[in-house]
Amino acid sequence: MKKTIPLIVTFITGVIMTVEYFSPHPLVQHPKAAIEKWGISVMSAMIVLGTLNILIVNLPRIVRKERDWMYKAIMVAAMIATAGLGFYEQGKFDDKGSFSNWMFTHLLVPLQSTMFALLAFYITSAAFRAFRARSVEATLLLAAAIIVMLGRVPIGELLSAKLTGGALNLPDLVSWINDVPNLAGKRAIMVGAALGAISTGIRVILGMERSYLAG
Amino acid sequence: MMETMGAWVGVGLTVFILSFLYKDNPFYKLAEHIYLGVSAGYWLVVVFHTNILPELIMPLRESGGDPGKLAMALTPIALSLLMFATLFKKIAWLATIPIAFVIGAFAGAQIIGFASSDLIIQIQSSMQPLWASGQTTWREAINNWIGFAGLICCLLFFFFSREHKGALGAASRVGMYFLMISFGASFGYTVMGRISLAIGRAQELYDYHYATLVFTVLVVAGVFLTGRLRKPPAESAEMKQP
Amino acid sequence: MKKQLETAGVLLFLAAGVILSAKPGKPVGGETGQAEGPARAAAEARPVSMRPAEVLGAADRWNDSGDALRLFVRQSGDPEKQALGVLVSEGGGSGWKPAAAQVVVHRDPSGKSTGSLLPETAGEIKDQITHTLTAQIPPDKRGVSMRLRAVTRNIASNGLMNIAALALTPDGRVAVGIELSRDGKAGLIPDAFRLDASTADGPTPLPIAAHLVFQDKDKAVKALEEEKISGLAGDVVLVSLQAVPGGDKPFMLRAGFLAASAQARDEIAVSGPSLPVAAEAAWFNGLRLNVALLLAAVAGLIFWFMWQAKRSANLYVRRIPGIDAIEEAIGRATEMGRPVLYVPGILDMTNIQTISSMLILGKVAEMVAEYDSDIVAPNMIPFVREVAADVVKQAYYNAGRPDAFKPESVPYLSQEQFAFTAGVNGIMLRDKPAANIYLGGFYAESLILSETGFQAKAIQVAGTAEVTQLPFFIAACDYTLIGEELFAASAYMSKDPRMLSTLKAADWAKMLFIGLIVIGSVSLSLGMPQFSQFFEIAAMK
Repeated sequence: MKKTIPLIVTFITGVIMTVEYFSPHPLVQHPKAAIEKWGISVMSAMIVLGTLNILIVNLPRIVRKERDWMYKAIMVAAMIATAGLGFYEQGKFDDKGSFSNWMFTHLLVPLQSTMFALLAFYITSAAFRAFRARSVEATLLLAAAIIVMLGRVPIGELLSAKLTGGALNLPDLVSWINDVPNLAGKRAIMVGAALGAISTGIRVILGMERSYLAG
Repeated sequence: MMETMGAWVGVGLTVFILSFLYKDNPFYKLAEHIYLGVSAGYWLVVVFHTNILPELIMPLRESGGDPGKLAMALTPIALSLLMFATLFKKIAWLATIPIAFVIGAFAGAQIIGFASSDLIIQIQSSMQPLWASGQTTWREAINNWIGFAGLICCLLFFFFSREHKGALGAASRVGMYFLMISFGASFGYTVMGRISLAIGRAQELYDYHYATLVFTVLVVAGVFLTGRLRKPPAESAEMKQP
Repeated sequence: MKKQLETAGVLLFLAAGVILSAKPGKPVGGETGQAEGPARAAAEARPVSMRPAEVLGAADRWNDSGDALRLFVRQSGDPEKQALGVLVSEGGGSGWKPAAAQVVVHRDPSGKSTGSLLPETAGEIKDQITHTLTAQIPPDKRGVSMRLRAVTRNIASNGLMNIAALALTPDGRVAVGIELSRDGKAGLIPDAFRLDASTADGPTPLPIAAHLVFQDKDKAVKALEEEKISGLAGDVVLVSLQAVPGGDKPFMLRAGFLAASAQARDEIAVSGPSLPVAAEAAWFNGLRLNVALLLAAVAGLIFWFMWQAKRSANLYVRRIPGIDAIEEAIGRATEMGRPVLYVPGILDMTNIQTISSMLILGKVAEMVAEYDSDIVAPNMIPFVREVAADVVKQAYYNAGRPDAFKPESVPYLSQEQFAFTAGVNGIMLRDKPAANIYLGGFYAESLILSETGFQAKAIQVAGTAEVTQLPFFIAACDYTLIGEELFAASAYMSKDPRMLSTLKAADWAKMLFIGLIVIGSVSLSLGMPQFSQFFEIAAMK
């Protein structure tokens, strides 16, 4: 029973959500809408369990004074403070002047964009490494990347025209790479991924994949 | 007052995070844990007020005793509560019911999502005239041939039930090349965007008159990262300035 | 020698690119297709006789070059017919030329109705009805069953337009809508025609609960500003639906035109009301027959090969190095006495990549448990954490070591993308996993994670179907599962013939697609576009 009930549930919801696309009938659309709504509600409610998990995982570490326990304590304190004051403000997290909004503007936003900005450094180091790998594949990847990068800045266009006497227009080459080989590659990935996704979906609905069914 | 304090906090944390480019250090650890704690708390508040309250709790209040509405409101609450069974060993298996519900539903939805967008659209738009006639020029026709051959080779690259030897091996190799050009182009397109992001961040630091210090930190970190990737970085005192 | 030959071939190919790109013709393929302006639309549209007096409601929109688009709901010669259409005027608004199809709903007094459409090639509205669609009103419902599809080319900058209308009354649920393609080939505004109008009594405009449907201009403009409408300039949206006074649930509709460009956000043109329409539900949406057939073919192949696998266990699947590398990485981590890091991506369970990642996590955790090693699987989505914890627990149980499972090995970090990233970075640097496995849906954090892992000298295996992130994984990881390989992994690792048979089925499906593309391309070359047109999609999800 522990396995059968979930398997039946998966099958029913899966089939309804698949058939729904082809049938506009209310007898199909109403259950579909309900399933979708319920599914999303359940998923968002899990943030409560998630927050509990943070406490369950970290509190014992703090109590036992394990490695980095002070940082964990700061983290848990920051979480409780932010959540506590946020709930105290009763959902006014978007209002200017509220504590939650202050936290968002002065902590979360700068931290987020700084993490994002790290990418500029990492992308350089990744490119640098690709440069040193001497295989046909790496060369192709890097050549395409360099052409595209150069083709998107004015100096690249100027240089290519000057050096080749107008025979080569870099932006044109970039759009050719984009429209012909890049498109072919992307299409194949999308078609392949779609096939993989469909067959994974079918395996899940049929109950062949059941590693998520703990007993 | 609050604004100034905010600016100080923002710039301080920014520098702490950037120090990670050099190596893991107490400042990064502090910023990381503050970030984790604050964002976990913040999102709990936001999700509670934007999802849990209006989607789960309000419908129950508004059902007004109508059995149909009550059932509609109670089902997601019951499913959510079942998830909490994981906290209790004896009934933990009950949580698999909502999990099965969600996984089944979205596996089904994604079958359709992929079939009706990626799959059919890509197949349809891959059908292109292969020789020059009417509105198609020879140049377009040749490009169509290249795209067509590239697509087929790339698809053969994903062939699983046969060993990649002989003709299939050659084709899948060509497919690999197409994929690499594709990845390279995508890489090239992203680089510019990422760099402008970093410039934007630096601009903000500059606005708060931390320019010299922060740029020094940025440059030192950049040099270390690109030039000495594999070497274990040594301890450095000046990096620890906030 | 072989390597030089290959390099030479690649160079030759790039040289060909230079030549072919020198004077680019139209970009190949729909994805990058150039938008065509209303001016061109007008040039290609054939005139249809249209007297202003017949226009019941109309609304105009002008673009920068003075071209105007007029949307109208109109009545044709027959008062029981009505049409929704578009007129285009070039440079200044004089001399309207119709560029749109007319959707005609015909109702006769006995209650029988027909819906029809006129493509732009049609002449007189009255006489040249090219498609007649099924429609019937049961006397007690007084509804019209409409499933209309008008195809028009070049209405606005985004090319082809489809109009689909569907209205349901029996249970008070009403849906009327207009779908538009974005690129001239396919891809329509999803769910444009789903709205709930369960309080559909009385003459007041109905509250309409679909994100693309608005009661009045102000609300539509507001939604535009909030970017709830992602329509392009020229997209048609349903603006309001109004119950006919005293009627038994028939409706009038108003349509609107979007000017969704950044400069002209407040430009939305709204038509006058249409004649009453009502409808009943259909069981099958015939516009989606092509998707149904394609899906049936894929599913059929999968079932066929599964059945085959049951009869004979003889099934060959080639080695997939990236997947084999997962096992090697776990083995190495075990030898080094360090944990395995498994990141299931940052997408919700609504994405099949995450579902697939959970299936693979089961296999990975089982291996880890068998080797008596440790796993850390941090999560960004709380629900995914619950599933992951369940999967890992079950895997330990399957490996016969249920007591070795530690709940803290599957932590929830934060629902914020980069906080999560910072947290995973911390795990990499402090717990020092020897194997990092990233499988699932990733966005910008892909490179931060994989570069940090690279610098921490872990063996890294990644896999995603996100085309934009694959290059970064390829640059920074030892092995990368590309697209389909990610989805194949759980079947491949299971070694179960029935699961493996689905991979074989996918291969045959690829052969089928190649065949379809060949037939489509050849028939297009021969001037027969019907085959390829069959695969044009009428609605996108």
